Amino acid sequence: MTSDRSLEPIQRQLETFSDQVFQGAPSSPGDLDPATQRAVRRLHGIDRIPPFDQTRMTQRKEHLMNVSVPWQLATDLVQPVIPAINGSSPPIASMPARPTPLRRRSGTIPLISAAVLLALIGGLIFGIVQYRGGEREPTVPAFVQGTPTPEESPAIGADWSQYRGGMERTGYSSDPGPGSNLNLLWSFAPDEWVNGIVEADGVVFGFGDKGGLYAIDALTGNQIWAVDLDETQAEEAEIVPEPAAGDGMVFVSTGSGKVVAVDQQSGAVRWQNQLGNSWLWTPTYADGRVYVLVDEVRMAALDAETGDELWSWIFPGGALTQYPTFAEGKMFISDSTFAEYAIDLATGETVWATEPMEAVRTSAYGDGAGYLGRV
Amino acid sequence: MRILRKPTTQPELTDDQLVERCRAGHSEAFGTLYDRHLPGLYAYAFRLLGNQSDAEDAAHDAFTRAWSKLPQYQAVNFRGWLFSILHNLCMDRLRRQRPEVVFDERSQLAEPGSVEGEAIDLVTIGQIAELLTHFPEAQRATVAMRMSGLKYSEIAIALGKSEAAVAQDYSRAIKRLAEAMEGDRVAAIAGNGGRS
Repeated sequence: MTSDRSLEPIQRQLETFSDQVFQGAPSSPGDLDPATQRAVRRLHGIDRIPPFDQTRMTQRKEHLMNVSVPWQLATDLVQPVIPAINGSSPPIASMPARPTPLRRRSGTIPLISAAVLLALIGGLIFGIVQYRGGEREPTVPAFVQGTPTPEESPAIGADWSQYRGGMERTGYSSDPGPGSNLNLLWSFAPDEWVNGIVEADGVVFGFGDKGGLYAIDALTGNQIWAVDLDETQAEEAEIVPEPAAGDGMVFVSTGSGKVVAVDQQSGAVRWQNQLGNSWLWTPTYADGRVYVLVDEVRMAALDAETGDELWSWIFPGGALTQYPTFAEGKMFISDSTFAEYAIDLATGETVWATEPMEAVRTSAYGDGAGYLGRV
Repeated sequence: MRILRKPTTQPELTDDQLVERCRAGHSEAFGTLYDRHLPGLYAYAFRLLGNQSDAEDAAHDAFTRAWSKLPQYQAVNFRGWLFSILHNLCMDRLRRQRPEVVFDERSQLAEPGSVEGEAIDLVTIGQIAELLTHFPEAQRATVAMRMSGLKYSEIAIALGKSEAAVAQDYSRAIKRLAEAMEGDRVAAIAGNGGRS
């Protein structure tokens, strides 16, 4: 019914032109003849709709909202698992108050693929979609049946513990994903803007632009803990670095130049290191170390357990904000001349470098090859 | 690299997301749908029915039916589905009211304006409005829905037709209108019932 294969270009032009005229926008008539253009404009000119009675219609709407209809009876029997989209989330605990401990999870409960989360949910609202094969129940959607059982849960997935899935930045998951029949399972909306989210061991971690770090149960959407790490988080720079998870910790970089390690289960701060004076780029966890771009000058390697700085690599041609790729014991990274470098992760020494190239930078690594993206 | 601009507001839920929330028992989500689509539905009803009171009633009736039939909605296009309900309600009203109610020219003439600097002749406005009431039902509905902001694809859903058929109806209606305007034949075309 919605196929436009048989539509002639002139008919599509008429649709576009009319939309522009009716919306009062600058119009592009294309190949439409002048008489047609005048007719459309005249239609717009005579279209004077008196406003409806706002008060009356609001009263009618509110009355309608209070009318129960038969199909609601089914949904009244179960408690929806979705918190109010615009409702307030539990208050963020300020440091050093110890957050609520993470409840122990059954080992049999399958994990939800964070790849699915990242692919389907934007930065502001966390959400999970659930695929259910076959027809949906007409009156009670899947997500109001209560907390999903393991059998009902979406694909079992590996962790998606940092940006683009892992240190190789492939953005690939072997999970089948939810298919096309999607239902919102839950959403979580803190009082700040959350950019990237990651997932590890069934917990979703999100970092907000006001410095809130949130741990959300991937199955239910319930907040497990939240901590306020830095009130000055990156507000002026308008960035929110994604967290990275590894070694039972979540690593975030803050607007005041710190890298902070937070315990995944308890939300307690394990260590923090004041590396720079301004915002830091998204940290990367790889093999017991945390790597982070500092002050747009250098890359620093930190011990994930202690936060101690192990080595530092200065961009030869000036820093380029980016997500470096890690594989085969090396870090692959570009500088502002778009030369590509391989850095030995053990020593921080340059292994090899290319000549400056035409506006490319490292984007992913896989199957023995690095892939460069054009800027 | 990931420098992102903050959105000024949180993104709105889509129609289908709101429907799912309604089905989950959050009736306030239907209130959001009501607020979102009332202006378009009302405008469409006004264009067909010709007066404010009937248009308000029809638009609200459409929401009432949608509310009661929400489980039957298949996630295709909620706005198109709403308009299909409203269109049927309007057609029922028109069939009951004909031939008394055609168009309330007073409201159309209340605020004469200009299009791109061209003064619109009041008589012409009235003639065109009258002319539209004589268009075939499908063309009239299509024109009114287009003016309410619906795409061909949404009108196709609302009227149960193919998108190509909708585009053809709209093209014919515009052509008919253009011919009337160009040739000063409004009265003549209106007089023959607009049948092609």
